[in-house]
Amino acid sequence: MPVAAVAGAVFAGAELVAGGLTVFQTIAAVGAITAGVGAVTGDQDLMKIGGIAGLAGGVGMFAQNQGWLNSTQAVAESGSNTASFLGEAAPGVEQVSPTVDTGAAIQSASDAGNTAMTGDSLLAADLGETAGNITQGITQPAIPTNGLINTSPNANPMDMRLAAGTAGATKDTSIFQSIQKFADMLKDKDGKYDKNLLSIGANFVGGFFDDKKKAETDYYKSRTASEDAQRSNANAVPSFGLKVNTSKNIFPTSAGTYNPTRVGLINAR
Amino acid sequence: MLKNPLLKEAQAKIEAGVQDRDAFSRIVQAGQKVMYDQATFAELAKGLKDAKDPVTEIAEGMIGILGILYKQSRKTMPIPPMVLAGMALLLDALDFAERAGLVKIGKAELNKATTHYLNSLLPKFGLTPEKMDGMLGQLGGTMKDPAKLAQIQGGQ
Repeated sequence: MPVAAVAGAVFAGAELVAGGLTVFQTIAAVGAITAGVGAVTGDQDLMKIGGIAGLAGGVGMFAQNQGWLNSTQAVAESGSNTASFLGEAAPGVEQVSPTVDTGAAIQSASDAGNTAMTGDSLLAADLGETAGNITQGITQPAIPTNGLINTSPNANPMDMRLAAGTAGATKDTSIFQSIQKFADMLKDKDGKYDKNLLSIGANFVGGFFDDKKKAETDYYKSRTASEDAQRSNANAVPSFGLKVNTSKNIFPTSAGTYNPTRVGLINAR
Repeated sequence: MLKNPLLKEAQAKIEAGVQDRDAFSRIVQAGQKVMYDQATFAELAKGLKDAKDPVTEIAEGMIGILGILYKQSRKTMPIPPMVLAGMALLLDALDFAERAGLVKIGKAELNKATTHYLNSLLPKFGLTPEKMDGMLGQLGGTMKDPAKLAQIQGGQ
């Protein structure tokens, strides 16, 4: 058995059900890897996605500890309701209307040479009604040209995307797209990232992969070095003797020169 | 010790982000043992020679090795450090493959290996894009609540 094939067999049934904390820790790990590799390869997209994943992981762990989030299981069950979580309509929702296919519609959608009766047309025939009577007062939806079914408005948004022919949800999904969707939620009404939220993320991921911490450390080092130099220079002011005027001697010496004692030395750190 | 400077730098970045260092080190050590085991290695090398896309093949092979480790641990291996350890092992494997003349690893290849590794691994233990959408959507909603946001900012 090829090594690569082992994973599928072994991981089957392995679920991150230990708790949402594990999920967010894992997302944080994804952020760590992505941002780290992005920083090395200079890939801005990876760096951004990594930073956002780091933010999601860090804040998610905090939120989970606060009990603000549902259990992983609950989320898993409703996991495909992406659009409702995002607070926006899923693509294609507006195109969906109640679907009661007429016999004629189904007939026209079927192969022209195929005369087999469909379920709805059979039903219409049995009732002795015309297809038009059945659908009276109901808007006829456009017949899908993509071979995918239309769905009711109450259906899963994922299905709606399928119905709309925007089937990217199934063929083009990746964890990075999920993170990008989350990143989009952090944008304000002008489409820019909310700086407050991003600053939280920066604090969570700061010091891992970007050079922020290193820059801070370097700054403090250079500042300390500069202060040390100033202190050293101040303390190094050479002592000098003051000439004593013997007729108006104000110094505590009768010698010709008074060498004052240095005071005000700046203490070393 | 990695030879490729790019991979070496990436390894340093990955290790800097490790929280559970003990688990990470143990998984990496166990992984290297499995990876360089004669039987596993022969299988990996064979797969690589026949591969149209060696980078992807290496990433998949690494996930396979993690699967073996996960099985050996009787499915008790902690997943977050495992993801990081797997990446460290992947860098190791990429470096080895380059030294063996099987593939040339540059920035594009490293990006590709990384994204493939993560995209392929996570759904295997249930963290599918759909599930992530759900979790992150819920989290995003929480973060838009000003009271909770204030707590998040204060909770760091």
